[in-house]
Amino acid sequence: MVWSDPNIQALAKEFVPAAEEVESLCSENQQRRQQQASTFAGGLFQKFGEATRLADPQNWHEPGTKQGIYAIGPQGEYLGARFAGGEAASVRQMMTLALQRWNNLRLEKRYANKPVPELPESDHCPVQCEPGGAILRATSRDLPSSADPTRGRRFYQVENGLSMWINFTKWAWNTEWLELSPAEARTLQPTADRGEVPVAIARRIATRLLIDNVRGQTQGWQNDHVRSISVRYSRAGEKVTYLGDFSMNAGGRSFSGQIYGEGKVDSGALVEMSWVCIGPRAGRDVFNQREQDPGPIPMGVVIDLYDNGR
Amino acid sequence: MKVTGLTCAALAVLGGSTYVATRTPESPAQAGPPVAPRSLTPTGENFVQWRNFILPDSRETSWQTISWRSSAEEGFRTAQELGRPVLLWTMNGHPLGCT
Repeated sequence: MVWSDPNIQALAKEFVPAAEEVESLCSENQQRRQQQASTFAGGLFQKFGEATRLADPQNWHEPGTKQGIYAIGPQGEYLGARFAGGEAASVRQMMTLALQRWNNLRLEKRYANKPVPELPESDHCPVQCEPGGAILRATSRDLPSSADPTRGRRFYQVENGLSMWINFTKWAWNTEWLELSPAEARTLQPTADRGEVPVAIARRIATRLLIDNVRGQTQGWQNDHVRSISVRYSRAGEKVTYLGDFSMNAGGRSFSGQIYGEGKVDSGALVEMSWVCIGPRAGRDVFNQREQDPGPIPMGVVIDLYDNGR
Repeated sequence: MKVTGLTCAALAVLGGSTYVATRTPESPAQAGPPVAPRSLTPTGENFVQWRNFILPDSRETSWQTISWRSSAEEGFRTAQELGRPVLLWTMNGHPLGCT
């Protein structure tokens, strides 16, 4: 939500923007943290952390997670920090002050301050597949219903949608990715006019992609949490139609519903596929912000064939 | 081949229903915020409308215009080459989609 702010997007051009899993830089496990200190990125981040602890202690969360938004000099120098930064106004302020500090630092240390190359706009797919494999992308969102017709709004439809951190729950959505091996991708190919998506691949898709990550990280499902999943297809010419249902239950967490999908076959190979999966979810995981939202209430997941490996 | 990447924005008409193989639905400047179908059961009739509602629109994906390097290492190495600061976004769960 911070990054949707156009002022922040403009300020970001003065930096090299980078994203990372915080546990790989400065683990809450002390032994791992010491090991990370001797790595290139971990060392710089922890050096920055030490400077932040002195200069800006309220934004260096010790002990505990270090997730946040940080402005860091090329050698780990402190420029600015926002622990768990989630409100656009405060992040904008931090970045502005950081650039003021940067203007002094770059002169002092004679940093070249060359223009930062822009990268092509990207979905930032974090996985790769082998030739012949495939990548699936899931997008999750809460859905409106008679129980709560406000679900599924966009951030620009929510008053103070970007300026108050907790308001993200009113417009949240998320993605997840799954790479398939060539053997797995082959099992998705419709081999007859009618059939069933093999149970093995359907269960893998269910455990990894039919998850409640709308508001944040979730551990997903184990195999024995998949009570049922069945996806049947029918093929007419180049068009494939999918109908199915699913049910997951982890004793407190659950998600079940119906699937409708469409796909396209070209020269005998599945080249496009999209499933819409809708049904009630319930329960909470550790980090997915459902403490005040036990459900059951509808959630939707779109699973797309993002890369068909051809 | 990326089916839904920026280089591929094809409208395919398949036997009476329309499967929009495009990366993002229309932004609100053109079409307004998406409207959810009445029925919570996905069918051929509401398939495109549900996809448009669940998938993010272009305003929601404008954050992707920021040139995110997908690792801190890449960010720091680039920063040292250019003599520029890093803007590091770090979370429990990689911020770029793996949550």
